[in-house]
Amino acid sequence: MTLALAGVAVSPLLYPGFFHNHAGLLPAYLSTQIDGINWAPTMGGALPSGTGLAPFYLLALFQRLGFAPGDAIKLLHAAALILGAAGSYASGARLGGLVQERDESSSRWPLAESWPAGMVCASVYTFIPYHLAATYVRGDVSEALALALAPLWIAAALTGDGTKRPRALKIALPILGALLLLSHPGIALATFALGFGLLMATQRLTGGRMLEIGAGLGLGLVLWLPALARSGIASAPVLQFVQPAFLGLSRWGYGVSPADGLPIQLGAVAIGAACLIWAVRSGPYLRWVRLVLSGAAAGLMLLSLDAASIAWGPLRLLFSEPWQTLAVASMALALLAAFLPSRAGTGGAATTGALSLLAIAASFSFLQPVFVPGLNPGEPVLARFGDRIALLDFQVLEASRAQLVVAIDWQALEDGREDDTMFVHVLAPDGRLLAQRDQPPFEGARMTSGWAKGEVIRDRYRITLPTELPPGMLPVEVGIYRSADVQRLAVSGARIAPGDHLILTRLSPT
Amino acid sequence: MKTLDPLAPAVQSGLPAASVPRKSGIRWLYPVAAVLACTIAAGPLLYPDYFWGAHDARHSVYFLVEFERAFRDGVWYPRWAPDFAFGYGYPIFNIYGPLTFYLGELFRGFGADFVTAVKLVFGLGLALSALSMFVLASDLFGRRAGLLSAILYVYAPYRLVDLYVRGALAEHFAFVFFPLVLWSGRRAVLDSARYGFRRTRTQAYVAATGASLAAMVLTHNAIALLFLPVALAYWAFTIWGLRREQRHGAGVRAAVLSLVAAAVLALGLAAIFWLPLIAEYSAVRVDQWITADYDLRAHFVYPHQLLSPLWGYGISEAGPNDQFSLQIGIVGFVLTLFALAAAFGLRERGRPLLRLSGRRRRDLGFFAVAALGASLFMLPLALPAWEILRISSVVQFPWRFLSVSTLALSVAGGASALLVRRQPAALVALVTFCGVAVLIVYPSLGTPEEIFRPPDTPVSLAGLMKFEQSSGELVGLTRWNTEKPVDSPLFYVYLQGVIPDDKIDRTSLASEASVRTTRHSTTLDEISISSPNGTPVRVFTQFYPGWRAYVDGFPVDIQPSDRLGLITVLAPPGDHTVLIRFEDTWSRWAGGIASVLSVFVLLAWGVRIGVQRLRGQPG
Repeated sequence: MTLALAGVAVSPLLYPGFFHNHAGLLPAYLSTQIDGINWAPTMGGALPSGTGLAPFYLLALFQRLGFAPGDAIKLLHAAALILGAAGSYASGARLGGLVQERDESSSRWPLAESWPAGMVCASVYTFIPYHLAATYVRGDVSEALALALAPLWIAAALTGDGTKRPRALKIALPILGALLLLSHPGIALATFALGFGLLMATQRLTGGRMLEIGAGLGLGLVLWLPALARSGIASAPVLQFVQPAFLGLSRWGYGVSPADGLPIQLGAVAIGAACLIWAVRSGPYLRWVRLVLSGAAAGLMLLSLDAASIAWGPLRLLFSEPWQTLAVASMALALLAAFLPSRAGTGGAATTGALSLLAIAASFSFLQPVFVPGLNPGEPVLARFGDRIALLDFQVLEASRAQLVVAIDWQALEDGREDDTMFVHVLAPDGRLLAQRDQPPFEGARMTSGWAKGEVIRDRYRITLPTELPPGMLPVEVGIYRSADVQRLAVSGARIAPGDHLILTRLSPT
Repeated sequence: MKTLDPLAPAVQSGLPAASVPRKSGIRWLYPVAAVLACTIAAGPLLYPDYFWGAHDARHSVYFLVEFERAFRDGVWYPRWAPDFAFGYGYPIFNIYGPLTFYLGELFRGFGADFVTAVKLVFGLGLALSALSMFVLASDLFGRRAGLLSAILYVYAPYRLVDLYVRGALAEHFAFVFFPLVLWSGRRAVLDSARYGFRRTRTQAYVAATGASLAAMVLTHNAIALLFLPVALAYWAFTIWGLRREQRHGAGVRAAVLSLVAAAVLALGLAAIFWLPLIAEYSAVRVDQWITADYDLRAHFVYPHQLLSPLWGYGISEAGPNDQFSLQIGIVGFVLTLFALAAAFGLRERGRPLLRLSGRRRRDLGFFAVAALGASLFMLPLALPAWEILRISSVVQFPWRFLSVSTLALSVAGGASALLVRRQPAALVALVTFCGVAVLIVYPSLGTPEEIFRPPDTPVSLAGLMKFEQSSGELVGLTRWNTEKPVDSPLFYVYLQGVIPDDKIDRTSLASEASVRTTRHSTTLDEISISSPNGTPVRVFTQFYPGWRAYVDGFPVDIQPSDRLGLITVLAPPGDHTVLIRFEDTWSRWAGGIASVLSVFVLLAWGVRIGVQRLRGQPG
C-alpha cells in the first residue's frame, strides 16, 4: 500500500525523456570519471560540501549495467523515493508501535498492528514538498539518497531491544550508517543525533547499540578519508538562509535559491499534523518522544534561519546550504504525524486514510516537473566547453540544399558568469567556411550569464547555405566563444581531440 | 461510543443497506447531497458565455442545430445533417447516437437558445450521473459509499476533461448510463436468482436494464462499445458469485434468462440506430476517423500521464506530451488502494479492518481489476491487442478507456467510506475524502478566458460554415466522395446569412435546359426541368444510401459524380419533375419497426408492473 502510494511520487520519472532540474545530467557525467577509491565528484576544484560519494558510485553501477545517463539518474531518484517511503513506513510503524507498547505497558504492541502509524508517516514524508523538490527541482542525488536511507537507519536503530535484537540488524545498522554518511554527511550526522534522542526516549540505550552506531560512523569516515585527502572540501562562499515564511508558504518554482522561488516548504500537512499531536492525550513515552521530535524539528528549522548564522562555522563543511537541515526536520515532522491515527481511537483507519490522502493531495500539483522532451537520455555527454557548458545531444532537423537546421542540447555545468555566443559552421570538405550561424542562446533571450548550474537548454540554429555547394560530405562544427572578447572556450571530452571547436557531424544536403 | 448513524450496523456487517430501516430524513440526505455536490462542477456552465474553445464544443452546438433543422422539417428521427460538409450534407445521426439531441430539443421547446440547451444537457448529465452512481454504489456498499462514489465520479479529472476541455456532449451524458446499466443488471441477476422472474420488481429491473442499455447505445455508440464488455464481465462475475455462494443454484438459469431478456429488449429499443449503423457503416469514409491526427498510435497514454496533475486545454498528440489531462483520478486511485488494503489485508487490534461479505469483497475486487485493466489497455504496450480487436475505427482514442477507469475507481474508491464507522471521526473522514476529491480538481474549474473565445453567438449556419472551413471539422465524407472539399458553391450563400433553398448545380445542365426548384427541405428537392434533349441534373448533396430519385414519379438511378460523389440524375428530353428524396432503407425501416414495437412492449410491461404493484401482488 505504502509503496503503491510512493508510486504516485515516482510517476513523473516514467516520462520517456528527462526533466529539467538544477543538476541535470551532471551527476551521471561525473560518475563516469571515477578513477579510484580516492575519487570525488569535483569539477576540478575541491569537493563541494553537502555532496556525497555513494550516489555517484550507484550511478556508475547503473550505467555499467547498461542504463543511459539520464535513465540512471531517474532510476536512482525512483529507488530513493521508494526506499524512503519504505523506510519511513518502517520507522513510523516501529516508533508508533514502540510508544503504544510502552504507554499501554500491559501487552506488546505487534508491529503488524502499527500500520496506520507507518502509513501516515510514509505518506507525509514522501510527499513533503521539500522532499519532492530534492528530486524534481534540485535533482540532488546526494540528498535524495540520504533522504531514503535516513528513515531506514532510524527504523533499524529502533527495532528490537537488548537481547531480542535480530543479528541481521546488528550488521545492517553500521552498513546503513556508513552508506548514509557517504551519501550526505550533514544529513547523516543530524539523523544519528535524532536516532540517539529517540533511543534515549523509548528504550534503554545499550552498549551494543552504541557500538553499532559508532561502527557505522567510523566505517563511513574511513571510506571518506581518501577522497577528502585528495580533493579537500569547499563550502559555499555565501550561505542562503531561509525566511521563516518560506517554510510554510506554498511556493513552487525552479529558482536556485529560496528567494528566487526554490521550494523549501515543509508542507501544511506535516506541520499541521505535528501541531495536532500536541493537542491529544498522551502517555509518558509519547510525551518524551514528542518532545525529542518536536525539538529536533524546531532546532533544525531554526538552524536554517538567518538568526542562526553564527552557528554555521563548522556546519558549512557538512551542509552545502542551511536549508538542507530541513531534510531531517521533515523526517521528524513525519514521525510526529505517525502518532495521530493511534490517538483517533476507533476512527484510526479512517484517520489514516484521510491523513494519507491529504498529504498526497496537498503536494499533488507539484508532481509536474518541466520535462525535456528533446533530450535523448541514451546519448552520453559529447563535449565540455571550458568546463562550464556541456554539449549533451544534437539533432539535425533539416538538411536541405537551402538550409541546415540543427537543435543542440546544452547544459550549464556551473552557474552562469559571463555571456557566451555559440557558433555553428558548415565547412567545405577542404575545410573552407561555407556558411555560419553565431548566436547567443535563444537569440539573446537566455544569455549564458543567467544559466543555472545543471540547467538543460535546447536551442536551434538555422544556417542558410550558399546556392553552390561543393560535392561530398560537409563537416558541421560547433563551438562557443566569450561574447566580450571573442575568445573561444576550450573543448574537451572522452573521444574528442582538444581544441576550440567540435566537429558535430558530416552532412550531404539533399 | 454510541452509533449515531443508523447505517453503521448494516455497513459493518456487510448486509445490504436497503435491508435496514432508517429515518426518512437521513434516507434522502445522501442522494440529495450527491446531486448538490455537482453544483461546484457545474459552476462554469453558469458563466454567461460558452466554452467555444473546447475541442468539440462547437460540434455539440451545431449537431443540435442540424438535428433541429431536420426535426422541424417533420423528420421525427433525423439521420441527415443537411449543412455539414459545406452544404453537401452528411448522415451524422445515422452513425452518431442522437439521444442527447432529443434532450436538447426538449430544452429548445421550452425556449432555450442552442447554447443554453447544450449547457442544460451538460448540467443534466452531471446531476444524473451523480445520482446514478449513488444508486449503484449505495446498493453495493451503503449510502455513505454512494455519496463518496458519486462525488468521485463527478469530480474525476476525465469527467471534467470531457465537459470543459473536450466539450463532448454525448460522451459526457453517456456517464449517466454506466452505473444504471450495472445497477439494474445486477439487481435483475440477484432478484431473478432469488425470487424468479415472476416477481414484479425483478421484471422492473430487467426492463430498466434493457432501457438503460438502449439509452447508452443511443447516446454514444463508441462509449457503449467499450463499456459493454465491462458490463457483461460484471454480470458474469455476479452470476459466478451466486454459484459460489451455492445459495441460489436453481436461480442461476433465471438470472441468465433475465439478462437475455434485457439484452433482447435493449437490442429492440435501439434497433432504429444500431441496425442502420451496421448495415450502412461502409457507406461513409471511416478512414477519416482513423488516419492522420486520429491515428490510433498517437493517442495512447504514457504511464506517467495516468497520475500526472497536468491540466490543459490543448490536444492529444503523438508522444508523451499531450496537452490535456489523461489522469485516472488520484483521489479515486488512493481511496481504491485504501479500500483494497482494508478489505484484503489490514488488521486493527487483531481483527480484519473491514469485514466485508463475500459478495462485497468480490464487487470491490472486480472494480479494482476493471480499473487496472482499463489503465493497461490505454498504454502503448496494448497496441497488439488494439490491432487484433480492430475497434479503433469506433473507439478512436485509446484514452477513451479513461471512462471505464473513472467508473471503476469511483465505485471501488467509494468503498473506502466503509472504514468510516462512528461519529465524529466518521464525519471528519468522510468530509475529508469528499472534500479532497472536490478540492483537488477545483483549480481546473477556473476555465481560462481564451476558452470562451471566439464566441459564435448568435449561432448561425454562417458560423457553421466558417468553422467547417477554418477547422476542417464537420466535413464528413460518404464512400462516393474521394476529395475532401474546402468549400462549395453553397458555402458563399450560407456566409451571406441565407439558407439555400435551391441545391441545383447549374454547371451540370445541358445548355438548353431550364430548371427550377419547386420544393426544398432538408431531405427533399423537387425540381421542374425543361430540356429538349434531356440533361443531367446534379444537386449539391453527397450521395448516401437512402437518397432516391424519381422522374415524374418513376424511380430512376442516381449516378454519384466524380470526386465529390454528388447526386446526379439523368432527366429525359421534355418537361419533367425530378424528385430527390432521403428515404428509409430496409435497415432503417426494420430498425424503426423493431424500436417502435419494443417501446410498446416496454410501456405495456411497465403498465402491467404498475398495476400489479397497485394491486399489492408480490413484488
